[in-house]
Parts: sequence; structure tokens; C-alpha cells
Amino acid sequence: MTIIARSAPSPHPSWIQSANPETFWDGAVGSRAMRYGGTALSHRALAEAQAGVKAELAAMHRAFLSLRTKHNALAPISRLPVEIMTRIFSLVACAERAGRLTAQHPPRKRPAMLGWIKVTFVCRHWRNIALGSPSLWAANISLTLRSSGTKAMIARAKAVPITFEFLDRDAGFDFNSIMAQCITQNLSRTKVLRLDWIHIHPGSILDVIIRPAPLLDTLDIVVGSPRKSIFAFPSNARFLGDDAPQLRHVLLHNMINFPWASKVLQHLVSLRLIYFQATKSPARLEDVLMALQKMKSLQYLTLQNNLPQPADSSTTARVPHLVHLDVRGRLSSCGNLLRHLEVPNTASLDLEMDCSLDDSNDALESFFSAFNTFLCRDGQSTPIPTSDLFLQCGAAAGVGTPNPNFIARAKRSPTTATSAGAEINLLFSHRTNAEDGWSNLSFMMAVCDLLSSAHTLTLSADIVGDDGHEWDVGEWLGVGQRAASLQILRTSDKAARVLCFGLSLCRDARSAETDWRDMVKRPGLGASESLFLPALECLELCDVNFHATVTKKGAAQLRFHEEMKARLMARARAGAPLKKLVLRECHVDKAWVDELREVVVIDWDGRE
Amino acid sequence: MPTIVSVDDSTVPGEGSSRLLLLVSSDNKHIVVEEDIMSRSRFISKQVEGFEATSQRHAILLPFSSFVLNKVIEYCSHYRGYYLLEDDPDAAPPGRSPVREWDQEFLDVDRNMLLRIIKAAHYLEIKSLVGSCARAIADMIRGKTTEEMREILGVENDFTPEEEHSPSSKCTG
Repeated sequence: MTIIARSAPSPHPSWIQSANPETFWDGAVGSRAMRYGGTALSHRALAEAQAGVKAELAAMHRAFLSLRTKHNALAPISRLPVEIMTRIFSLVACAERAGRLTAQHPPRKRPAMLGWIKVTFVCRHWRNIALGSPSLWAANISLTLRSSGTKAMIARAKAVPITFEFLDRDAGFDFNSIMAQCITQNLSRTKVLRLDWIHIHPGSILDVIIRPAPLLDTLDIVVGSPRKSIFAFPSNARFLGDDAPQLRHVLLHNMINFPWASKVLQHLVSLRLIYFQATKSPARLEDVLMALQKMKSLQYLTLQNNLPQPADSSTTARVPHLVHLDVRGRLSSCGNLLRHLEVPNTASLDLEMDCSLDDSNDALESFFSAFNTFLCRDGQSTPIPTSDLFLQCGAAAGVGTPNPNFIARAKRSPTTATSAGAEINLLFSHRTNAEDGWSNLSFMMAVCDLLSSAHTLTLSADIVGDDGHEWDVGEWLGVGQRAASLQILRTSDKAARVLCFGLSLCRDARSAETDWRDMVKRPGLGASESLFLPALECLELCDVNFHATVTKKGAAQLRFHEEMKARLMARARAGAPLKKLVLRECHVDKAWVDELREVVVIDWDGRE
Repeated sequence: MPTIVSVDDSTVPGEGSSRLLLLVSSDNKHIVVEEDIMSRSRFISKQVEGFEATSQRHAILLPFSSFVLNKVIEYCSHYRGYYLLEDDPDAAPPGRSPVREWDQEFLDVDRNMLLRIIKAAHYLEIKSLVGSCARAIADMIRGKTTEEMREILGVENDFTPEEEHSPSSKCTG
């Protein structure tokens, strides 16, 4: 191509530098036809012309970008105040983080924790807002970036107290000394430190938690590997350098030699110490009680396994603001701790006992005595009035063969504590070596005359399904005979099929041999007195197969939904209609759900 | 600050069983609303306090259309008498709280309307409505690519190539 130059273009005319589109078009386009003529260019002239065109292109691009910036300035979103835009970015960050933590994706495909940073790539205005908002960066300093990236985030956080979170234990990152060093260097300005990973380097962690952390509010150290991750706090070190006046929440996994005497614990609101297994050096009960006594603001206390060593101490720790107490461990240790704790009667209790065959009847009786003392701590036999009590008996069921003596003793204690109508939620579960589900339940029933005042009963899947045991009529009768005030019942597949028969039947049939379908309401009794679970209002079924055949009626096979519908209708006719049926992860057709909707309100997750 | 014009008692009923406010939108629509409904707006509350100090009632001129104003009033009416945590600066927790079901339906409007509502809520200092709108906008863009975000909110990529590749630098000019 021959390019003819009538006049050599100025290498840098003023309009080329201009970002003003009008100047650009006047200068560039208006004279364009005059620019090049028919004379062949020399090599040098050609290079100059090329440079000129390139400069024009650049100028055009700048002008183009300038127009885009002006366009953006007029966009409605850009008219929002900076603080609102910052809030939106912050919400995006929060949502992406929450989405990541709850996502069902495989670890490697989870949404990026820092996905929100994409907002800084949308336009210049957004980037400037984000970079000018330290709180956005301080809210979650990622330790899994390259160290330069982490440093950049910390720098952008400016003087705002920062949050370190390392939650990628399932994404293949290992906590390393560089990360520990980064935390250590910035601990004095750290508000939240949350570490959650698989492989632990105890030395690195210990180096962090013996340093002063004057702004630290939350310390969570969670480990994923049960056995290798036990680490001991050095006896000669000071927890957080004895300088963490803002510390309110502590969650520690597997840290033995917990410094109960540390003064930084005094303002705690929540303390959770979780061990995967008991260790050889549990704390002394006296030390624990003394520390708890000083924690005047404590609301949440979790002590799982490795409970303080039983001692003959008469000390009692008063925890006046406790909202929830979660204790798991050996039966004797649980009882021992309960005996020495004084908590408000509004506090809820999550108690899981490991009771082995080695536990003597005396130990069992001692526990229930302590339990009863705990519930009736004023000695007036006044029960906790409205507390939710989750009694997860764990391997207590592993007693295996019911021991009549024990059952007789156990029955005495809780009954007095709960007879005045406490609203109790019971969660029955067993995890370990119960070989016989029926005796398991028998044990529960014996222990838990608690059922007589239970409001909610949850029978977790492992007690009604995993061991292959399918509940029979007798077991439901065991529940029905006691649970006259039960309003909410949650259960799953193996227990649900027989349950549906019982919904419309009398509760005082005592023989498991009775043909339930032939049972009728007894004359002279009101529906509320004669019906099975007369107060039941809500039934929650999980993982129930509605396709299953539950009975034969002549030649026809009745399916679960048909039987359920018939029973619910009968119950309604008897004056005690079920108000709500919740279906979660059930195998059911939509048409069947629609049929059931004719007789009861259904909350269905839509899974078929 | 809004323009305040004096109104006579025949326009705005005075102290009686129900105290009313006269709000005037930018398109000059006069909207009478119970003071109690608008008490969620700190801005309006401050105006009313000013009225009480001077013993004079005024109409309050607002810089947004009656259409937007009516939406805000609808929101305030729905939550009349309810305590909303976000309106309490001392109690509002940081971070994200779930969008209330009613709010989701209420804010199911086009993008521009949503932006106008949030601006109005910000002006009127109704924190809970600002929060709900902000969450709705955040939900529109979270998990999206930058290109999708631009498309959704009507903005253009105006980075120079250098800026695009050095995200840590502020953009000037």
C-alpha cells in the first residue's frame, strides 16, 4: 500500500494527548482526509507515520475510556453514596464466604473465598471505592494467598482491626510457618483469629498464642485430624501474654494443659474446649471451678471429653449468665461437673454421656443423683421450668442388656425433676456398641420418664435405622404411654412406618401383640385421653420411603402415603388433627403429597 | 436539606387522634401520611422534632418522585410498630442477616427502581430498608463474573490496560 503524505503529521499534536472526545474528533477526524497523499514515503517517514497512527489509536482509546468513565458516572449505580457501595461489597464478601462454607461442591470447586475482589475489576469507580474502604479488606485476611497478596490485604486494611481466617483445611492447604509468622507480626491488631486445618504444627501455633493480643475478640483453633493434633500449652508460658482484655470467645480443639488460671479468660462470653478423646492429664476440677467462678459474663460453655478430674470438692462455681451448657464425657465426670455447677434455670443443657460396661451401678446412680441435683439445685425439687433439655445418651445404651436394678434406680431421679411440666426436648441417639436397639430404647424409656413432660422428641436416624433394627409396635407404645404432652415428633424411616398405624389409635394398649388396625377408641374416654400421642401437632419425617408397602389389605397392597392419609383422617375425626407434616428427603411423589395436603398442612422440601 | 414550606392547618390535620405529615415529592405530588408510619425514618423524625420546637407544622419536600416515595411509605407501613434490629445502631449485628421474605417480594422491582429506593432510603435514613436494598443488590452480583456484573448494573469497563493488570493501584484521572 502506498501512503502519500501531503504534509508530515506532527508527532504529538495536542489533540492526541487529549482525553476530551470533542477535541479528539475535531483534531483527528476533521483533518484526516488531508493527512496522507500520493507521494511514496521514505522508510523514516513510514515509521513516523506508523508512530503517528499508533499515537492516534492510543488517543482514541483514551478518549474511548474517558467516554466510558463518563458513561459510568451517569449510571444509576454510580450515583449511590460511597458508604452504600461499600456495604454492598461487604455483603457480597459475606455472602460468598457463607456460600463457600455451606457449599455442597467438592473442596477444590468451591467458590473462591476472595471472589468478592472481582468487584475491583468492574470499573475504576468501583475499584477506587473498594481500595478506599479498609474495613472491606480487614474483614477477612486470607492466609492462603502468596505472602505478597496477604501483605497487600493487610496494607489495605490500614488501621482497622483485622480478621485472620484460615478455613481451607479441606482444600489442601497446610498451615505453615510463614502464615504463623504473618499472624504473629500482626497479632497486636488482630480482632478475630480463626484457624481450621488438617495438619497442625503445634510449635507455630504456640508461638502465636503466647503473644499479647490487645484487640483480640475471638480465638478459634479447630483441628481436623483427631489423633495427631493434640498439643500442650507450655506450663511456663502466659496465654496471649496475659494481655487480651477484649477476648470474649475461645474455641480450642485438643489443647491440653489449658491455662485455666489465665486472667485473660475472665471476660469470656463463650468458652468451648473440645477434645477428640480423653487425655492422661485432665485439668483439676478445683482449677476449673475457680476459673468458671471468675467468668462473670460467661454465656456458653462447652466441655467435650477430657473433663476435669473428679475430686471430693465441696466448691461450687456459680455461672450466673449461662445460656447453654454442653458437656460430653464419661458418666462419672459429667455427673461430677454437674454437681459442682450452679447455672440459671433458663440455661439449656446438651449432655452426652459415655457409659461403658465398666461403669458400676453405683456410678450410674451417682450420676443421676448429680443430674437431679443439677436440675433441682435449690433443693426444693423445683424443676427447670422452660429449659430445653437435649439428652443424648450416647453409649449409655451400650449397657446392652437392661439392668433392672439400674433402671429402677435411674427412674427415681429424673422423675421428680421433671414432673412439673418442664418443656423438654429429647434427642435420643446411640453411636457406639449398642447391639440391641430394642434394649437401647428400653433403657431410654426407663431412664426417661422425662418423656412424660417432653415437648419435642427427636429420634435420630442412628437409633431407628442404621443398625438395621426396625421399630415395632411395642416400642411406639413405650413412647405413647409416656409422652402425653408431646407436640413435635421427629423421626425417620425405620420408625416411621409403624408409627403411621398408631397415629389414630389408643395409647393405652399394652400388648405388642395387639392388632393395631383393629383397635378402636374406648367408649367413655375423650379423644385427648385415648389417642396415641394426643397432643401431637407436628410430625417431621426424614428419609421415609413412601413407595414402600406397609401392609396388605386383602389382595391390595397399601402404600405408606395411603395408610398415612387414612390415619390422619381418622385422627381428625377423633378431634385431634395433626396440624403439620414436614417431609425432608423423603421418597415421595408430588401427587401423593397433594393427596395428603387434603388432610394436613405439609412442609415439603420438594424432593421426590 | 429538604426545602420546608409552611402549610396551613386545613392541609395537615393538627394534634388530634392521629398526627399527619404532608410529604411533597419532586414531581409535586402531595402525600399525607401518618407520622407514626414514617417514624422509622430518622430524617423525618428529626424534622418532626424541629416542628415541635417551633410549634409550626410544615410540609416536607423530598427530592424523589411520588412513585419512589409511595414505595418507601409502603415499606414503612408494613413494618409499622415493628422493632427492626437494623434500625437500632447499637444492636444491629455486623455482617449479613437474611433478607426477610416480605422484603424480597417488595424489592422485586427493576434495577433502576431498586437503586432509586435505596437512595431514597439513604436520604430518609431508614437503615433497615437500606440494608434490604443493599442485600438485594449484593445478591444480584455475587458469584458473577466482572462482565456479568457490568451487564447487570449497566457499567462499562473503563480501565486502561495497565490499570486492568495492576489491581492494587487506585485509578486517577
